[in-house]
Amino acid sequence: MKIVSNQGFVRPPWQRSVPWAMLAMVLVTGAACEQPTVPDYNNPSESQFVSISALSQVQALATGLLDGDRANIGSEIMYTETMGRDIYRLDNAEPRYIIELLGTSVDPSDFLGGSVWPYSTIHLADIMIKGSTAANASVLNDASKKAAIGFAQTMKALEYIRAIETRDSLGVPLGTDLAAGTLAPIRCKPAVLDGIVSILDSAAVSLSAGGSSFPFVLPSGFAGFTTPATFLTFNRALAAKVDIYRAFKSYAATKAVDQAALDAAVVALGKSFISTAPGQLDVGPTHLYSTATGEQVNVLYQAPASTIFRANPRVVSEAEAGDKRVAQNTTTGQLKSLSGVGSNVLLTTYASNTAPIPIITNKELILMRAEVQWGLGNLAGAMADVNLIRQTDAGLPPLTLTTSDAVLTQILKEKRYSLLFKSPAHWVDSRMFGRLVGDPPVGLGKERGFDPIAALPIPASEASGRNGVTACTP
Amino acid sequence: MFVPRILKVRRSSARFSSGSGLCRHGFAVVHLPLTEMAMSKLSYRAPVPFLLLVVGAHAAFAQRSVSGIVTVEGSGAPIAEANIVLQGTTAARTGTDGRFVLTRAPSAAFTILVRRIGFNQKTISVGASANDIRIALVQDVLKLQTQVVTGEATTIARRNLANDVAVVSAEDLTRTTTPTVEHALQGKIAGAEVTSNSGAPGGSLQVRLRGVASINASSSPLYVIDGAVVNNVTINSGLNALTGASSGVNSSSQDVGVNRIADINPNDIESIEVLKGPSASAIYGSEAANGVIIITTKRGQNGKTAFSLLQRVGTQEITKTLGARRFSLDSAIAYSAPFGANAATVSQWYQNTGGYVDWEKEVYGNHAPSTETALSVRGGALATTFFASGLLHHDAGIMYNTGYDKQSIRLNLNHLEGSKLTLGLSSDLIHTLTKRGFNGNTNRANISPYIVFAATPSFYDYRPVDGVYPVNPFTNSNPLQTMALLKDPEEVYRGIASTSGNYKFVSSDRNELSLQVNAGIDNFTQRANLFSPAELQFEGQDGLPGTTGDNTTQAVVGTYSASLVHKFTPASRSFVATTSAGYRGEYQRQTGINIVTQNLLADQPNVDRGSTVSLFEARNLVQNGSVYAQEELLALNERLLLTAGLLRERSTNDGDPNKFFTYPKASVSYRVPSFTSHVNEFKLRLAVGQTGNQPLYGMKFTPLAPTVYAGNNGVQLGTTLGDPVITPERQTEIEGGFDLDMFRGRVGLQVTGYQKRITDMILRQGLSPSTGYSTQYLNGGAMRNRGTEIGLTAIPFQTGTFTWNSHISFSRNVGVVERLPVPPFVVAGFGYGYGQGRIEVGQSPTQIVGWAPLTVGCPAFCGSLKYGDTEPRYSLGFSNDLQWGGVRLYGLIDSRQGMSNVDATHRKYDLLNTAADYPANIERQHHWTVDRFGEYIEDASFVKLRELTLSYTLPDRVAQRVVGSARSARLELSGRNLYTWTNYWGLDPEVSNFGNQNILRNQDLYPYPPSRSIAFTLAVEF
Repeated sequence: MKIVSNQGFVRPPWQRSVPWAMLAMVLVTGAACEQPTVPDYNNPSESQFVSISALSQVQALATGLLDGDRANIGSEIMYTETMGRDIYRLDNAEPRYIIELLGTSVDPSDFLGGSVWPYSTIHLADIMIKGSTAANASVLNDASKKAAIGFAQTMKALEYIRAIETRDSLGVPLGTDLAAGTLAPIRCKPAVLDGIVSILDSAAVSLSAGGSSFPFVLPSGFAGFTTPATFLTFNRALAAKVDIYRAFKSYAATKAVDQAALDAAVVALGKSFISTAPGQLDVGPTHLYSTATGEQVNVLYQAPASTIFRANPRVVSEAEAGDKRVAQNTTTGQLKSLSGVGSNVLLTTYASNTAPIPIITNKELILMRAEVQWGLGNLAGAMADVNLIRQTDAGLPPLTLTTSDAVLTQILKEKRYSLLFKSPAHWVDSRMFGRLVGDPPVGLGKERGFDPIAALPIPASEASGRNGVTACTP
Repeated sequence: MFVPRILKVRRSSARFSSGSGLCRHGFAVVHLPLTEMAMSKLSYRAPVPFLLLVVGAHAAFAQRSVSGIVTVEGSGAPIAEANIVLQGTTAARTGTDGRFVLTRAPSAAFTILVRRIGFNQKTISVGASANDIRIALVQDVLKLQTQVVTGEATTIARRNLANDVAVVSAEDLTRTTTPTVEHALQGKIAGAEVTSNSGAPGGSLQVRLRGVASINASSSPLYVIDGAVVNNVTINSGLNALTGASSGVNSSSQDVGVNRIADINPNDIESIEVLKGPSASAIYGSEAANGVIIITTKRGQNGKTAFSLLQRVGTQEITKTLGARRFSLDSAIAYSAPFGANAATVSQWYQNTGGYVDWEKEVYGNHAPSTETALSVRGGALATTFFASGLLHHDAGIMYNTGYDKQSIRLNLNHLEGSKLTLGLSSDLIHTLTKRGFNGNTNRANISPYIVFAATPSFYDYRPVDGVYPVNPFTNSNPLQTMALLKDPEEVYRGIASTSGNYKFVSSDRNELSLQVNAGIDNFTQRANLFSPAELQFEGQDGLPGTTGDNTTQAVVGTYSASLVHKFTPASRSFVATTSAGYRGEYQRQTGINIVTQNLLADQPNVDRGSTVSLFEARNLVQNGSVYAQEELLALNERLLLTAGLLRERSTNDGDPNKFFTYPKASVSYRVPSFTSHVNEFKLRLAVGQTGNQPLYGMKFTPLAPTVYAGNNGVQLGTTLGDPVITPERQTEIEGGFDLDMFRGRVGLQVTGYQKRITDMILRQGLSPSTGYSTQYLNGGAMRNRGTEIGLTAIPFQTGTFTWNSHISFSRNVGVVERLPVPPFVVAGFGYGYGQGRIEVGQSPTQIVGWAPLTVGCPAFCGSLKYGDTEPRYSLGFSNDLQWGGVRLYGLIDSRQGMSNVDATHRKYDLLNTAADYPANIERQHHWTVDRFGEYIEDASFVKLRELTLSYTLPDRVAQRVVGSARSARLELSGRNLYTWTNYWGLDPEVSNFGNQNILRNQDLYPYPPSRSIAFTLAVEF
């Protein structure tokens, strides 16, 4: 730019050269040098996993799936056992654990209404399935791919089970492998259960062709289930559970039982890790917890002296005298009250914040088999399993019950105590068999004057993205 | 013809004085060697005074001493800090007595220019024999002559400006003790809503200019000190490791951290300009969306070195307590039974406490002295001047073991090399130590005192017996124990330096061409150390007794710019055209490492002495670059100002880091000649402009979250779907208004209306979580703010030595979301049960929404209903300043009306039946739990007596006798936040549990309570 003499400037401003030169400089320069591309310094990116290029990636995805479920299981047990009126979380800082879960309804816009909605884990399973499928054979051979896919599908089915257990008749979104940002339709419970079975069956096919080992390491909580073949027994245990849900899906309303589903459950249980051998009751995959960096702790544990986890006093009063399971899970302490409920029964199910939480155990399978036999009309067969649990797990004498209703009541009672604070079964089964409402033994009780809630709501955030339309389609 | 010409010289002087704050010597243009031609024209045209000026310049070093006093015309009160400009440099400055001495005055007659923000500048001819001069300045109540920044390197007098730019002078800033700069702005600027997030010492305030400018991008205004951008980031302390207010143990915005502009020493500030919207601030590009606050620090002067010492001593007390339910012994026993306390135990407590103790006062009753010592030195010789200052500031918090300490040292240097080069340096070293105690939302355990008070009946005795704190059976902490043993110091070491250089290539009567270069660096390290020993009652609850945390963040912001400025004045003098163009670059980097260790070994506070260690690191890097060009035309006898400018900017935060976004601006103002005898001047103004609001770091990425299970690395889906093509938001503002100057400067009225439309908004849309993600970033939609700002300044009464100044500022802003590309979404709060933000078309972006009341057809959760808004319907500031000789009384009232808070503190007291008005809470609880009527979304309108000061300037003779060699002395008694008139139930209507936020404000959860402070000040000049 040349600075001309004074004379050159004596013109109106728009005729001067200097402003135009400056403007031109602005419009032209700057683009000369490139700005750096600043990466994400804090996290790996999803795009890195589109095609798995290293075993560490498939390990990371498998670990992430397990970690996702490890978080979901704690909330599911805590909330369903509260709605099932067996436990209280008496938290002064957060009274909603009581006033909503033991109230008229759960706020779909808060953390409770939004809980156990495990779709990020489901989407992660899809990433693992797609990434494994696309992996180069030098990284994952065909058997390893199938093993990885079978694992991911099984974990995905487990998350769907948690979703439908908590939402029941409201239905849940069911869709596989949709593009990010796409909404899966909300399907009603029968369709969802069918969908889960088909995911599990597809997983079983993949696992069967999955060779002798997984291309990743499973944590020691899965000891006994670490190969595709043994993991398949876990897959079948889940399939049996879903078959039972299918069999009794209309029972509460119509007393109808789907015999075909019960037959399928019998087959699935046969291929599961069910065992009546002594000392095998607690066999099953568990989630481990740890206080190490990056790990999760068991959220169902609090130090006994000040624990806010209490059992409903009826858990003790309604137990048979001498039931070992009461002493294993509870101890008496200081009374604590909040918002109209109180208890001096401290929950001691978990001994520390690193105590494992079982995903599904052999004793649950035995009691599931009792349900199946009951549904098939084999009351004696059902009572055999009930008495096995009574004698081994509860330290109680066997019973002889002959009416259908009494047998079912007893199955549910054994489930309640054997799986106390370890499973949503008490609430889920009571609902399934139409025994939610009313005082025991008909229903679950009426603490705070309200009947138990039948389902967590569809989260407000889910409804919001669907313009409020959440009705399920059959 | 001559007068405007002299004005021209003055204008140029002032222009460089505050353009960047670094170049004070623009007046030197007068004694630069003039071109021969220009000189020849001057010599035959210039009347005598101008010749004197020029001659004076050449006779500069023939010495004599001239002293004088600068006073307010009318009252005769001395004016401190007035600049005496001789030959283009500040040759002297007045002390608090208004006196100055020119030690190196020319022996011949000369001309001085006397300037002071808040007064009309005046040119005085000093005769060859005069040696004691009296100068009376007329108050520029309307601040018309203040120079205001219009670009990177240009300024213009406020009287010509087309925007309503607020200017706050040093005097207005430091009338009372002000812990941070933002406190000093409260109530003083129409259109600026300055709100404390809590009463904790050390700051944390949000400045909101003309409404909410964004939903998800930055909420902070841009702070520029002496030409360099300074960091106003909030680094959260890490209390979340204990509160669990946000999931996990990493720090969260619910820690209510301090935004770091708090570090600046308010005593160093010469003036603050507030550019409220894009039409004024467009030159700062996409960081100016929330306005720009331009701070200019004090500079040195030639002549005798002047010392100024200020000593303050004060104290503070809690302004409001909530009280608690009083129990009879029987009701106490009944209340305690469910908590396992037997009647004998309860009776013992009841006897110890007499049934009731005001525990709030036991925790928040600290009256320890707060002190401030500020020393400054200014001086210089010939071409080099300096200003140096030191500060020792200590605020004791009303909560025991809390407080705020700040020490800072500043050195500002200016040097004029030859006639063409001006160099400037500003440097500031700061240390702050903030202890804010444990307050706010807690989820993992009830720790904050107010949540414990809500959960514990007032007859309970928290006091230790033989040094052992009792275990509170009603909840899981004892606030006396927590307060005594929990430590959470936050320490900041900070260095801010900026340099400037200005070189004049051409400097003639018609043409000036100069290059201005600025560069600045702001670097700080903030370290928050949390220590919570195992013996604290709540510590064992998670099975991991003892928690220690080390949250260390290092942040740097570097800015650099180069501008060419060309100023042209034709021979006819019919206009002045200023063209400027330049480049501006910015580099920001931040690295934060947070270590939280639980289950400590024998209460060892080191982070490697526990069994459970959680580590978090967050990094970011941003680079921005912009080029701009601007033209200003001042014509028609300086009555017409036309401005047009263009800025092109790119940022690495955008999806495409190399794409330029263009932001134009234009403005016009015209000062209508007097049309009635009472109206001296009537200015019409109109300005339009655009700016952006750049995405935040990381918004373009879709991250996977790392996790570990049984020692294996894993990945989880992140919660947010990034937008790889994200662009800045675009704000378009139209601002128009008029200014009236009446009764010879005694009444001024400014009326401004504006509309700000934000398009391409950066939205963090809520996704249906069944997609795998809960939120997604995208551009789209539009939002609008319309508002009115009225400023009325008057001298209602002025006689002899008495003056009364009065100022009223009114502002009102109405925001509305015009369109959204997505369904309405919630800006996460604590659920509709409490009240939270919801972004929906046709509604205010700041609305507070709760569940709608139940109806026959809807037994639960019946849709949402607006119950309030976090934005006030209007704000009002009212200040009065009465001066009578050396006595001065000043008061400022700050009022905000028509906004609401989510009062979860009240809900907690009601829920647990401990509110002072028990059993009236039962009906409110019924509303809340059953009918969901938005019961605890409460009106938070307030009127606050923000500042009140009574000062007395000692007569010189007295001052000299009492304080030794002092030139002057002033005594002052001042108070801050002395009284609040409000119907709000909670502690303070000014509250934000989430700290600085665009939308999610006004959440009241057990905050640090508000306090009033009073201080006695002695200010001495040597």
